[in-house]
Amino acid sequence: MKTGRFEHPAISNKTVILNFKRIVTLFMACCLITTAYAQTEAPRTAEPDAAVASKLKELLTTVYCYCGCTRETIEVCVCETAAMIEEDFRNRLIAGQTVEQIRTNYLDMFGPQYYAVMPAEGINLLAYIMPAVILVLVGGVAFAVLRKSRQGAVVSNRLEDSKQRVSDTTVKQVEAELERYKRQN
Amino acid sequence: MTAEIGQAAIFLSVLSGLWAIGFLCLGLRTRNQNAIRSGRNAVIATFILISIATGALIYGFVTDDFSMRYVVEVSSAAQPLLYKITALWGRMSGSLLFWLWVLTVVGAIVVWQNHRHNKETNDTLSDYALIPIAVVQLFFIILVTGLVEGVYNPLARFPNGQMAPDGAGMNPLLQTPSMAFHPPTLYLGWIALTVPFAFAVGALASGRVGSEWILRSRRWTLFSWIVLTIGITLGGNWAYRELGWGGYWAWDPVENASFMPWLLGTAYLHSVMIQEKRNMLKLWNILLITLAFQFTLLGTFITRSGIITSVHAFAQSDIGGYFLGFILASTAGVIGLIIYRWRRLKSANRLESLLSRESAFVLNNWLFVGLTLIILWGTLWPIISEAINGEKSSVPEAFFNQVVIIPGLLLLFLTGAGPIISWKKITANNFQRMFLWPLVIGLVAGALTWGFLALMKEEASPLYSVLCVSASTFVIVAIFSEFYRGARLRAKRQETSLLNGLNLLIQRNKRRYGGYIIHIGIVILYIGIMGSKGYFLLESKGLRIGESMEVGQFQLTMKDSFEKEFANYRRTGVVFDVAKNGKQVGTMEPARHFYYKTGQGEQDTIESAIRHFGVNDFYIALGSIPPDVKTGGVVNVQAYYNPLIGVVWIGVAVMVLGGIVAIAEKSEHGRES
Repeated sequence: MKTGRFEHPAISNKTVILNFKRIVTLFMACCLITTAYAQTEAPRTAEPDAAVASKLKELLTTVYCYCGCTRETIEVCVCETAAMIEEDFRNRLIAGQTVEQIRTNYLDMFGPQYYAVMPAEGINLLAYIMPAVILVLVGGVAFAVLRKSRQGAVVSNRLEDSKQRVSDTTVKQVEAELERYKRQN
Repeated sequence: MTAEIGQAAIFLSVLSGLWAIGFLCLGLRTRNQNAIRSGRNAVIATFILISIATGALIYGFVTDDFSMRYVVEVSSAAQPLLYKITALWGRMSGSLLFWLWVLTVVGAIVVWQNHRHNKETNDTLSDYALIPIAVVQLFFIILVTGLVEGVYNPLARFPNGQMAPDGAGMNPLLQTPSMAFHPPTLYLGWIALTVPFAFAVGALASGRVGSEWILRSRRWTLFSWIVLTIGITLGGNWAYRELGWGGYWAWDPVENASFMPWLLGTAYLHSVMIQEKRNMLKLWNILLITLAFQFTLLGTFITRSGIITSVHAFAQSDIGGYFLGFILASTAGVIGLIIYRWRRLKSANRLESLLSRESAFVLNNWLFVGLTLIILWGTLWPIISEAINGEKSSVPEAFFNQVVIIPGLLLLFLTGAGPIISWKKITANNFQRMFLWPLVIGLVAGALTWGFLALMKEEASPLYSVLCVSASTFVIVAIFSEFYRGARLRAKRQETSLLNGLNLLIQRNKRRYGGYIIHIGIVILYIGIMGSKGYFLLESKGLRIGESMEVGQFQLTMKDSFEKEFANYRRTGVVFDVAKNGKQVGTMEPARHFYYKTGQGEQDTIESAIRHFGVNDFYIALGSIPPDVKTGGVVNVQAYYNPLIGVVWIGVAVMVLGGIVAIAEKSEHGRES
């Protein structure tokens, strides 16, 4: 009965040891490469900068510039004020303030109308819900119109069309007749 | 002296306006032709008087008459002649006079059309329609007399013969070619909507609520739609070039104010077809055109009242209340007439199936009206939120994008489904013949787009792009197959080429095929919006001369700065070398204009530089340029890559072309009469 690879006639003990050595070597090589890779990554202490950049982007896209350029976020606004605010935000982020702290401070200074994001919470939730309500309500009216139009027997269209034409035409004829009558008298 | 003549003309036009209303009402009530004729002549007289007043004001601008208050406010001696003339609508008083003048032109054309029409028939519908036109005219005349608080007479002089040495100049933002055309086209579009509204009121007053009033005013509605389309686009183009934020639409309250009547007008253009074909939706059509007209006034109210912060802040004044009062009064008048004619407004026909073209039009109207109300809701939300909790919320662009996208995509689908679904009832055969292939090809296009976007690893939400491409393909295939089938049939019958067949087909039914061309334009527009809004790139950086930045595949290097003097402004800017994928493609010169006379506006304007790469744009805007730019001063640079933005303008051009084809079809009122 074959109970293990050492019993396999095709593979000698020497070969197994050799393979084992190869595996260990490969493992050590991997470790060395990983360490080397980690060392080359280490100088990417740009990590904090990247984090600042990402937070800065969040700030710049979520508040409006107070310079007077209507409804332009600081990211989009090209004025001097926007550049100054951006610099101020960057410095505060580097100093360790959070996005939320900086934003709250900005909005406290200039007012909530400078918040370029309308979170779906509190009173603003109503703003997000209403469009769906409007569509449903107007849809309800449209559906009622369709339903009402489908009720009852289908009347001959041609007949009704001609009736309506006569209606407008008749009014005009009556007006003309009256006019003629008035002129004659 | 000309200013005094102009003022006298305005005051006389109060009388002519009253005369027109009084004599038209009297004449129509007593069937007195002389009184009716007198009323019509008074409408013409109003046009002549207001033309004199407008001419007097333009004369004041051209001759630099700085004894006139309005001329001093919006013009200056150094202002180029074109902008002296466009200063007419540069601020409140003048823009109201201009609005009034266009309205009187429209009134005079209606009288002229009526005169031509009456040679053949003894028709009074136009005379009924003249009354609301004259009422709206009178409202504007009263506003420009200067007798109401909040707006002064644009022809008024300074007291005691005073004269300013020079004018303050027009807002620099308005001194651009697109601003020379954007306001007049928008006004014209809004004002032209007065005519179908007036015919609707006339139909109610005369009791002739059939299709005649629709046919008589059809060209006016289409004209208004075309001009509004152009006006809105010119506004977007102006914002793109002049405001420096790289976009053309930001759901600003005033953009919304111009867009809402357009949406309602578009809904109306569709729903009247049901009344014409099936004699249904009479009440709905009257309500819809009334709403569209009222939204033109509402737009003015939003622009002028200052209740909402907008980029059009320069036009604010205290006259919003008058507009609101007029909107309420005129709406009450229409509702009164509707109640009076209630019985006649009932539909003569019934819908036979929910799967029919009539139903598609009702759905289309649902979406258009729903979208309008949603946009109105978002526009007014700052006021509503302030009323509820005392804090004025700011509604960002993203809110509108979020809430309109689904109804917008549904409308896109209907753009293709409407033209191919049959009237009365869809049959299995109709469905298979008309819908199957467009649907299949649309789905395949959507799947391919999904795959492509996944491959490109685009960050923007792929779902909406996939739905947009899928629906657009469906519409294009559906409409092109309509054209192909019709053209092939015509070609076969006339034994001519397919191209001739296509020409014959369009000539035979310009209204229908013009409409289809508009639908193709809509699809192109959607694709442009998808690309430019969903996949644009933006980079901002402070640069010194010699420094570079990258935006996607573009690299730009600040090479030099420059300064040039013009008659009324100084142009300062920088020169960029622009490369694409490392290969030099040319230079770009974004700048800022510093105006010496700035009226009520900012001192300098952003003059962005735009370079087209096919339908894609590379766009640069500058912050302030420091005096030491040549010696190391930093300039804030914003560079955008706007893909498919050219497709937006192409889409609008195709829509306008379709509108022109549709309007070329002669009105059918001759047949009705």
